[in-house]
Amino acid sequence: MGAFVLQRLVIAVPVLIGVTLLAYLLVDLAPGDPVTALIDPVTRAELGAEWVELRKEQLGLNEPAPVRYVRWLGEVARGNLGYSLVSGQSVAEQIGLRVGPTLLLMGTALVVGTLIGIPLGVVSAVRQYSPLDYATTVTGFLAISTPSFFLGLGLVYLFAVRWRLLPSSGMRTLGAEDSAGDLLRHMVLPVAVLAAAQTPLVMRYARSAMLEVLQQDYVTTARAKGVQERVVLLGHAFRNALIPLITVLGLSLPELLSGAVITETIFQWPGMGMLAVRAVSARDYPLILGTILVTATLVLVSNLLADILYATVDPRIRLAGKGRRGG
Amino acid sequence: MGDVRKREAAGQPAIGRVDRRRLLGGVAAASALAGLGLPAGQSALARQDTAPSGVLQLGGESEPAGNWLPYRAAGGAETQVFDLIFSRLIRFDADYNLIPDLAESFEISPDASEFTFNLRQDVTWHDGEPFTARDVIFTYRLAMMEAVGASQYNKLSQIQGAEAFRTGESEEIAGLQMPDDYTVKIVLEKPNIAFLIGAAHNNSLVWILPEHVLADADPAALDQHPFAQNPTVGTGPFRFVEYVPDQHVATEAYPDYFLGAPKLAQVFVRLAAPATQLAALESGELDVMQALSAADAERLAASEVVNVVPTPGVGIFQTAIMNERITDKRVRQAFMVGVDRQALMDVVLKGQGRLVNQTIIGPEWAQFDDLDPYAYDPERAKALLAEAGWDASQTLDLIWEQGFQAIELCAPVFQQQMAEIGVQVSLTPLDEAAFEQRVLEDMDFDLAWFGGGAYGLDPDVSSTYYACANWTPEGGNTTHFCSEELDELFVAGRGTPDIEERREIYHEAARILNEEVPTIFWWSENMIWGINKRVQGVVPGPNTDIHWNIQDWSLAE
Amino acid sequence: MAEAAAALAAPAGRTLGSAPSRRWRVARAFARHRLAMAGLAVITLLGLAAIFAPVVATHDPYTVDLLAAGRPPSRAHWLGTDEVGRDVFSRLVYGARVSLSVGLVAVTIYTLIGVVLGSVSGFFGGAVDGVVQRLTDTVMCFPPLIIIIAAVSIAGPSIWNVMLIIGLLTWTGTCRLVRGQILSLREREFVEAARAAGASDTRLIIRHVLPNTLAPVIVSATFGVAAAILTEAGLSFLGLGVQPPTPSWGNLINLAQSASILQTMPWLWAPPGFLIALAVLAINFVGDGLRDALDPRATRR
Repeated sequence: MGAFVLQRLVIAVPVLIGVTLLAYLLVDLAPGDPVTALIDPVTRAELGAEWVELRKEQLGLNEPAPVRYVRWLGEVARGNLGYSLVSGQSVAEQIGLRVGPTLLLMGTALVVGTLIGIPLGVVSAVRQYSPLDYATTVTGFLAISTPSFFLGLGLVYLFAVRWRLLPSSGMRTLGAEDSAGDLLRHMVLPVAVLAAAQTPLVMRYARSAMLEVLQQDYVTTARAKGVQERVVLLGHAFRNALIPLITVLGLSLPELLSGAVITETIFQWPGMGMLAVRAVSARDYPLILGTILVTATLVLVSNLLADILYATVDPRIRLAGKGRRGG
Repeated sequence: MGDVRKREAAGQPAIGRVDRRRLLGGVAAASALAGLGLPAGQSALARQDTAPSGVLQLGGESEPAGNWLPYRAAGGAETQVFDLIFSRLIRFDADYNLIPDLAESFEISPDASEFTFNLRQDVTWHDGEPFTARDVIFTYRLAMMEAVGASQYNKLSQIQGAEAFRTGESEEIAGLQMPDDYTVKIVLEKPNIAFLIGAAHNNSLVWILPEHVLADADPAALDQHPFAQNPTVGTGPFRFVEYVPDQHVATEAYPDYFLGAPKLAQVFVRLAAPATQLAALESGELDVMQALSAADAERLAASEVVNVVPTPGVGIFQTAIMNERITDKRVRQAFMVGVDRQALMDVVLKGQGRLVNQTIIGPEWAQFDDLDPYAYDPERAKALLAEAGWDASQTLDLIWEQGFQAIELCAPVFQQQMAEIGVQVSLTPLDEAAFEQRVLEDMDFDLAWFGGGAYGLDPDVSSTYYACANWTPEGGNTTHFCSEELDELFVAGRGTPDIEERREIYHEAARILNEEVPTIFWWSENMIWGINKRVQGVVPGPNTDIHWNIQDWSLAE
Repeated sequence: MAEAAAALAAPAGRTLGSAPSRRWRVARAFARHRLAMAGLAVITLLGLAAIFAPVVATHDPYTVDLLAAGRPPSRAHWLGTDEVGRDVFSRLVYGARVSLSVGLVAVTIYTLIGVVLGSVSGFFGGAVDGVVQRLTDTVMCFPPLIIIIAAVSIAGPSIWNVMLIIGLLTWTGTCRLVRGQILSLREREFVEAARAAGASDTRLIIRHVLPNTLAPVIVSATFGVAAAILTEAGLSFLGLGVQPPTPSWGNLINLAQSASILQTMPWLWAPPGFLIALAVLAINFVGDGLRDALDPRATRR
């Protein structure tokens, strides 16, 4: 097991380097430059080309790409993600501010999605093709078929503008004392939007995993032996069905991060998603790279954890040993 | 919110204004200005007012860079913050009348080349230190150093000795003088009455910084100075508290503000895209929002929460014509009469604007109505094209920066109506970088659509965009229009503070612009404010710096 | 959302008997899935409308009419007109072309990449697997929408770039899926038997292993089409989708961002919103039906 973990860690290093390289290549292909990205054309025209050239020179943008990449990578190795070209602030610092809010939002959505999704999925599987199964299926698909921004705009209109039950955006009420209750009120709508996409996934996974397990020999055997149905379902089937779910949850992080881009934008939630959008639109290279590096690291770590967990519970997958056959 | 890239676009309302009195040129006469200083006793009285209370939220669209030194070209949210925490020498009120700020009065030499500012003597920085002329000189010197890379240099380079100082030839700036602790004198190379706009206008000249805090700062590394992140020492009505990215900038009242203690305890600039701001405005969370769309204004007219206040704008919606490609003015005139601008404006702006037929649209003394109105007349358009021998087989490419909703609506209408007079137009929305590349660097376009500018502030603003010397890429003349006659008028107009003289000069300039049609002039859109009914004391005008009197604002319970 | 597609496709893949009888059984199983049949009908209808857009549309989708701007639905304009008088119904029909092709093309690209890389990787294992998997790991680390907005904003938002970028950046799910299937398959008796009988690698992959991975790939691709349509809509929301005046469902529904349109002109956003949900739902049901039909274990007890 230790060897397996070590192996995964070793693999993670070239992957990270690959990530920075791909990201750098992508960003470097971009036309336009950060000096003028945030200035409207009229003002920019007024400022003149000389000023733009001067700023470029000062920001080191006139050097060749490989030089800039290697220099940046060297700094990263020393723990320095560089400075934003727009604000001059430390990239690591800016990202540090954003990780918390995003994790809070995603974590909550993940928990909500799992808590609702697993029971619904299990019940749907046990009662396959029942009205309940159809109802959850249709609702679930409807939820993932609605563009999340559309859902978000609708919720804001109804709950904030029309009924004034919840705040329309932001993370806290300005000018009020910080409190957990206030934060929770601000979280309701964005979490609802993220969970609307997450819940059906978990539910469908739980359903199919459960269906699969229910047809395994040992379940049939247990039933034949006259073991109570409740015990069969919860004790035997459910436990085994949970195994693939670990992977699902681990792998849903990139999806959640993607969802965060739109959700955070709608609700003005100061997380990684908004930061990514901002960095991209401002062509703030160090910030784009930093954002990608950090999100990729998050994803990498979550994949790693999922791998390890999966290998722990399902020895067939572990590369270190020859697994046993069957379920 | 939507477009991630267009925050600035929608939020880039025109700045400047048109139809009130005492506009820049008017006030520029020294005698008129001298009386503008507030009586010294007034602020002392105000300080005895009741304790401040209430929290106000202002909408701010573009995300600030997080660097609070006003030496970069700043977005809307930043200038709002600068106005809250810093002061300028002089500034504009809601209607673009010049009013005193740190300078209680000033004098202009008859040839408009020397400006003397008499500073207030009762101003303290937020840390209690007294403010003096040394701070002003310090701030301007920094802005003129090459190492600082200030966006204001373009304007400041007019000061005598600027170039020598910038290149290091001289330690001193001849034209930047401090006769005593409370007087600053600026001498320009060449007469330019419009220099004053620079001193007052939000994005052009400098908010004054504290010398005692920044004296030892390395000009080349100003951005890294702690003050850049935490500018807690200003002279404005509010003190900087914190900036939370993508959320807000918090400020608190500065009780010793020189124009009187603010009545509000805290002011937040709430950072959000227009759609998000609008939801917060409607739900009563946001107090003041600028640049509402005409449709939103119409819808909110009966709102119980929000007052909708339209004011005339000073920007101009234009489609730049590359004059080097379309050299015949009859063709350009045909574009103007070939499209039903009035009908389109009625649909897009629902009446919240006025048609414009050249770019000299204000102040009040610089408005001229004896020019060709270019009313919709397809027959006249066809005749003009025929006269000019227009080749109907060619296609003109119209580019714009995607995300501008008004252009997305107008472009297909323009295309269709041009086709009806025999001009083929193709539509090409470009992303920001590509658009700027094409327009400003490659100068490779037939027609390029954008809006903005601050034409209504002073007629001289037009010289930035239409003088021969200002062709892109060096300057702001994107159309590559050039008229020596017009250039001479611009120079003459800058050289005198006399309104009557200037009116004559710019009347002639307006005639030339109107006849030559260097660009397709569409309209000037109203600046529409949405203000929560609980806010008292706001004076909305075309000026986006609505906080010029924010110390007097309060909230009704 | 590409991950969602892969996620929704449950593991399947067994030796499924001879082809004709299997196809028949699959078709029957699919036909029994009522939601899937309904979905198929809806998609067929939408597809036909898109293909025959010039016939179906009542107006030119680009012709403006300032005198008829902002009108609610009427007999002349079935779904009303937009702010400059363009016919909403006709723009929707043309928008279907754009949105459906974005989905189809993007998914074709990523399925091809994913299947090739996944089968090579899974079958050969070793160094090949190592390289492909590191590449997959690398691409997978990018949260899809974050990397897509970066790429689209760099390449410039055109319909082709949107298709290409979604396709190029979302193949990892399929790759993993195929590889996983093959990993478990290649140890199975029938593959070992074939290998013992002297079958070549290529032959093994194409004849024996791939067909058995096809089911989840088809299912995943189906979901992928739905996901790509949603991604285009999301990009439109961020201003990076197909650009007006070209209509796409994404940029049409995006009009709802204006609070005024949201509240006073529902005919502009409700139809595209409904169509996106309907199309995505229908495609998802088809995928669901396919999965159930292709997976013998999921049949009725």
